[in-house]
Amino acid sequence: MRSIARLLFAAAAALTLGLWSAWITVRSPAPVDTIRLGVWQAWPNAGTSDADPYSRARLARTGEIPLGSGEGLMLLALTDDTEDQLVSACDYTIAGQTPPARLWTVTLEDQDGHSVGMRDGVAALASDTLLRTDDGSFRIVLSTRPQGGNWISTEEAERFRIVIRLYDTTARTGTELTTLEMPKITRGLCA
Amino acid sequence: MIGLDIARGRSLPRLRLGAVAAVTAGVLMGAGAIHIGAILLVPVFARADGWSRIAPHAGTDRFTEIPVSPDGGVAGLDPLFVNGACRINLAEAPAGITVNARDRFWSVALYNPDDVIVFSLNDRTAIEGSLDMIVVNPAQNAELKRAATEDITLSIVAESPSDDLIALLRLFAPTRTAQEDARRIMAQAECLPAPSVMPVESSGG
Repeated sequence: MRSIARLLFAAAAALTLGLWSAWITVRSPAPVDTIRLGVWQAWPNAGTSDADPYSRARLARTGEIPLGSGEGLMLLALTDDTEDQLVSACDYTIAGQTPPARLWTVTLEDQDGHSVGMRDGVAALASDTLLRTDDGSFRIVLSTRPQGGNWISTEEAERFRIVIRLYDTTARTGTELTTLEMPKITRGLCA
Repeated sequence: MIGLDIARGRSLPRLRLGAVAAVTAGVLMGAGAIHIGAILLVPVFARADGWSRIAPHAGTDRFTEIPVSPDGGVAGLDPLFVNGACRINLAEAPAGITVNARDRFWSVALYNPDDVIVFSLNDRTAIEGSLDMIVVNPAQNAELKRAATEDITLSIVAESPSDDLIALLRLFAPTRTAQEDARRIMAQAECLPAPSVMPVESSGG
């Protein structure tokens, strides 16, 4: 009896541990095959034939349509620089140097990857209309209240994440990617 | 338990330690097998993967727009783009894709049912804003190379290992006007079977 109980316990433990560890590695955003640049994460192998089984499983689960190597690279931030969740109750500043790309966009999306709305369009900005300082740096304010300069409204998402997509970029390859200087996300005042 | 321990004396703790180690090893190996099995099976059983999400929006013999609006639509696409999809099947003939768009960023990607982008390019590759591309499978590519004609050298040839594909056309369109333009470009873009690019087989061999 005891050996059967032991076997059942072992089987249950194996099943739980196996499924739990599998879930941990494929949930969105997965820790496997990820390049981390501060709070920004990227999956340059996603959707390529070089992708490992973990990336494949992650993509199949999230349903995300990755950018091809000839198109660009997506970077995702779930938190601000102090690793706190991004919420519309607070204002944030995204500031940094222009990334090495012909075109890039900053968009807000919800936990399911759907883009967030904004009065008269979507909560997004593209580099072609971005206001920059003389040294090429930029500053974008995320707030529910309209701001001067570069502003993205957060009023339609209680919680959100920030996506930067670099198009026609040199940043996809190994060393270029790991030395990429990504903008900082600083929290401002909270309501 | 305690009584048994005392009765058997000192040899027992070592024995139990061995049993614990054996069970732990068994659990870890079992967990490892289940972990690997689960990871490999996720793509097989996933119903919400990228391919399944865009396939319903993909047009036949033309690009149709994939909705990306905040309320509904396909997740994970750039909302500042107008995204189009066209289903391609190479079993019968190669496919030809042409896009004419200047003064904006755009890109084309070939996506397969395994959620892999087998080929992608952007407007920098296009000559004066116009792209003329032929999509072939390996057998068609071999045949094309054997009978390389001058026409073919002017086009971009993309080889795909699988016959079933979706061509994704992404056009940068940050404003209303740009979106209208992008939709016009998409309507004019071609995505058609192109049997004529294949060399005519002479019956004599």
